Amino acid sequence: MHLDAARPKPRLARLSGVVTLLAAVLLAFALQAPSADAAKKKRVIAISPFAAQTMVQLGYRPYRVGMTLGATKHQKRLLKGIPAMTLSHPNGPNLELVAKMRPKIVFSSNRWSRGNKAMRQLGIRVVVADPLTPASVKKKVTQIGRILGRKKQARKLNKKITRQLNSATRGISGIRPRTLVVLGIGTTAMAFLENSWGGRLIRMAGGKLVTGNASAGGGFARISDEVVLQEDPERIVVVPHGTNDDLSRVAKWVTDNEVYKSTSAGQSGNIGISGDNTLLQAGTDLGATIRYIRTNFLKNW
Amino acid sequence: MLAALVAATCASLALGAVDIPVSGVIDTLLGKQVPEVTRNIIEILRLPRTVEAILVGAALGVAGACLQGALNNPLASPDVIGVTGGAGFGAMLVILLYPSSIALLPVSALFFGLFAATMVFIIGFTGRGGGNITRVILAGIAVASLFSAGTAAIMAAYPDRVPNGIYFLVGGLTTSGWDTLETVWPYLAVGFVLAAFMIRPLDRLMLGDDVAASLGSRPRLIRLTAALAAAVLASAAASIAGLLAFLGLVIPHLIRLLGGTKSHVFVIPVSALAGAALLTAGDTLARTIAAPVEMPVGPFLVLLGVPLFLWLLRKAA
Repeated sequence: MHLDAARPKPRLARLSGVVTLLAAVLLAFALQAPSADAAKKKRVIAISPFAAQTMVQLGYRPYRVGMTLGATKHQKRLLKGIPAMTLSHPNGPNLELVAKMRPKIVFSSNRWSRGNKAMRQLGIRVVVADPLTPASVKKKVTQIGRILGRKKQARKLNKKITRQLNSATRGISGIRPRTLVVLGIGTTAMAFLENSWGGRLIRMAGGKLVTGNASAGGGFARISDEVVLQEDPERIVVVPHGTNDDLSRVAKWVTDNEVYKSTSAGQSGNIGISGDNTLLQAGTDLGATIRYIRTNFLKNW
Repeated sequence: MLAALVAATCASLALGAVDIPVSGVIDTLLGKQVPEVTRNIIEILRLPRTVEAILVGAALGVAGACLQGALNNPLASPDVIGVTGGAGFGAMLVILLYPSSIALLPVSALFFGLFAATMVFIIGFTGRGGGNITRVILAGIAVASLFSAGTAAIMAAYPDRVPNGIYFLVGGLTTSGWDTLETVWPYLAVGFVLAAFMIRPLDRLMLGDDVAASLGSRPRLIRLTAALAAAVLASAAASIAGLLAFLGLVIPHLIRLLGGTKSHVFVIPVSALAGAALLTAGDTLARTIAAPVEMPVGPFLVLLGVPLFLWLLRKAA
């Protein structure tokens, strides 16, 4: 009897083992699934172009992105199909529209500090996650990944950024072309300084920035044309404000400029125009940007 | 005042972000052999900029003197006949809406400055009661407001491009070689010649419209011609150096207070010299004080001119 009664026990034990394993697997899935689902349900708006690109590359589709003025082809491709919000001074997005959308998180930038404050008052979590230097790009990717529950994907993206950066900066020689980068084409041109986003990229790409040793907190300063003539840049890069539909006219204006014409850059035809915001705005495609700068402007690729 | 202008001119040619010995400046001006960088800095940058400062300063000084005489109003300046508002609109239109046509900036500023003044003249000088000073001034304020609203609307629509236009709005000379002057000099010439012809008639107008008429003058025509000269000069000045209307308001007052006379025989030529000297000195200061960073000249003019003006006002009182 005892033996008969005991006979099914191993089967039961096996069954209970299977059931336990199944339960453990289900539990593991259950523990994983709700966070992913909850994350998917979260409405996240990315006003800053950097956050928008990062989100997409982490596999998380933003509910809305900021308007893609001056975005590169690659950036436009990344954000294709995602509705864009019009941004305007001083708030950034229209606050009533944002309130209506009820997002859980808004990734913004310091540029829209007034709007950020107002959105926080509306009970929205606002995260400023725009890197100020290329060196802080990976840190910001990690931050966005952590907030969205995509740590693993963020690590993967950071590895990709490092790999592309190493590849793009390979073979930079000791000779660094003197490079003047100017912002805008109005009555005055502002020079990119060492602490600007574009200035740092130029240095990483192997250029030596012409600034006349000027410094300004904002990263741009109207430097004297006398200094430009004295330092004699070998490359000049012009970054028109906003988008510019007619680059040939801009090019004519630049090449007709008496000062630029007199420099080594002007005489050797090394004046380039950046038709997008590559040198102005942070992006995750650092490697591609540096390669673009080296190929098109510094010509040291 | 002539000595002040000569001193300001010498300083403007000798000082800059790059140290060039005075002998180098003189050698360049005399066409002697100098390093290419030195020659480029003097010939392409400092010389045209100094000439522009002299002409713009003189134009604004004369424009202010003519307007204050013609409208018999001490508060008259290029702002009052809409020139500043119109020129600002014209410039911002190109800078913000058509940045790829930036070469048209001086032409656009000049055109809209003159267009605004023409609107004011049509409203102020034609029809029944035309030429009435209050009517001209009110028309000027209305037209200026119209163009200022237009400028503000464009700026609000294209905020990302606004930094390009800031230097125009605050006023400042930039380096464009001789290009802008080549376009604008005929207007300056016409304005100066018209103003020179208005010196005596404006003096007669100071005696009152009835007395001036009894002396064979036509007050309404004198007012219109003097205001036209001022509009042409102020528009041309704005197309070169942006909005520096402060000079047009303050310089004639300064000259009257300094000279102790209101006669236009004295006020108009000396206002030209004083405006030229003040703008040349202010521009030199603006581009050297934080070198190699260049500051806009507008605020410097105010810093230079206002304390002197207030001191003279107090002294005169």
